[in-house]
Amino acid sequence: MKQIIAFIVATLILSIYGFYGIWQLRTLGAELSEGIEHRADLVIRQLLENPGNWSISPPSIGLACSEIGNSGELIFPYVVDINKLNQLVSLNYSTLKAGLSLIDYDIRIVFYYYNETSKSFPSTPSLIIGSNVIGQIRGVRHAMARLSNGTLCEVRVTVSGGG
Amino acid sequence: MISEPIELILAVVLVTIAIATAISFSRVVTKQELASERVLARSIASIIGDIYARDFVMYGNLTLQEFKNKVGEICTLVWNRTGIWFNVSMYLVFLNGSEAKFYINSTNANRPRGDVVIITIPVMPGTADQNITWYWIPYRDEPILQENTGEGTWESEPIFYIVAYTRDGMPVQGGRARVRIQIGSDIWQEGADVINGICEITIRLGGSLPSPIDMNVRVYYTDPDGQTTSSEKSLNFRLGTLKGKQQKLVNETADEVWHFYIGDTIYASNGDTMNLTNIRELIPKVSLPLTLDELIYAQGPYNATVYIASASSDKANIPFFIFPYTVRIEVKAVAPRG
Repeated sequence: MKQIIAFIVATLILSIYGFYGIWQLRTLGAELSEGIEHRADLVIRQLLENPGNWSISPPSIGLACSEIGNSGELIFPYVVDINKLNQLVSLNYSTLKAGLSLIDYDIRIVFYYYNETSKSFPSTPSLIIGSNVIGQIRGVRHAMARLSNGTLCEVRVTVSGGG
Repeated sequence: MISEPIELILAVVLVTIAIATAISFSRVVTKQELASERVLARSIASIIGDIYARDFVMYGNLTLQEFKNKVGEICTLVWNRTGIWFNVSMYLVFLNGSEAKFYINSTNANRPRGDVVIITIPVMPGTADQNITWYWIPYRDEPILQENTGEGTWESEPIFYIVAYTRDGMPVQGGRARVRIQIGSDIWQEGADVINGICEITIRLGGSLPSPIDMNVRVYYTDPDGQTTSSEKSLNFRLGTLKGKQQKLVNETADEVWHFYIGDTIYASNGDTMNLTNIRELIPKVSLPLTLDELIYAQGPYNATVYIASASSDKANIPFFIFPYTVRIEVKAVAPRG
């Protein structure tokens, strides 16, 4: 009888722990999906799909190439304007975060430039912008893009922190 | 060892909890991966759209086959990098709203089993660059010269086309062209307005025998801003009987036209085949009539060299435009799971 009671108690404890684990995972998932992950989505799209406004301070950061024509502004998403990229590199970290509306978050942007000669991407990043410290809870997005000189590149954006 | 019903129930509860935990974790991970794959697929669709618009349509750096190869190369590169399999298709969107789908290329590996993300983006090649490019072509490479031996005279009616377009292949609106022909000390000139990017000028030439062998042609083009540039070359005559414009490109109602939309059919009066040249490539021996329903026919100016099967020497050069149109690029990403 004692063994049965002990077994039931132990099982109850395990069950409670199990349900707590599931609840934690769901909460964590929701937090990741709707928080960091969503933030990483917004950042990579802001970076690569819009031309930004570099004439204000802090700038509204966007790297997409654009042309002003008679019929308005033509935007080339995922085509990175090298001049804007150079401006991005020269920004200090707090301006970078402000320009991407990431005051409470850390950000790291990594570029891998495609090597036409070796027909491959390098194993080490070609360019790193932003923080070296990235938290455990993070959202990572990667996208392919093209520099305005035609070079193919992979862009990885990591957003961490928050709350 | 399960020996009591209660133990069985408890065992089932524990196993259910374990499975629920695994499913819950898997769903969270899958949701994140799908969001990430959607961004990646969207970026690939965009850069393929850019390669199509700029390198294929506007700058002509790539032929259609080279473009397809490039897409395959990108798909395989990303597969090596991320383990996600890609397939790219394009749709031509016709004026009546119907579409034609064309397979472009995919990752050079077997398609894995997994979740599928499909991203579609519209692409319409365009640029704000209004720099004008122009050129001229004679209707016949060697204009026909007819000798009237009884009268002791010769005559010729060379026809010239002047074509002006912007980088996105749009015909230039406005401007004027002038053709100046010099044979020895004799000079003939004619001018005309460039309408919708194309201007046709015919000059009636003539004189006393002996007939000339060649002529010097200088064409002047004045763009809508008033800038005038010129281009010159010599053309040899070919002895024969004047035929006027024997070959023409016409529409289904037999009207002579120089502008077509994608999906239109090009007919010819007195023409069986034609070679098409544009800034991208030579498209040889196309049968007439020709329906413009393939990806190879991109917006911009073309030169058609129209042949009559029964008289191979009677070829004629005729320019025409394909008006800008929209394509849709569909990228399918398949991410292996498990």
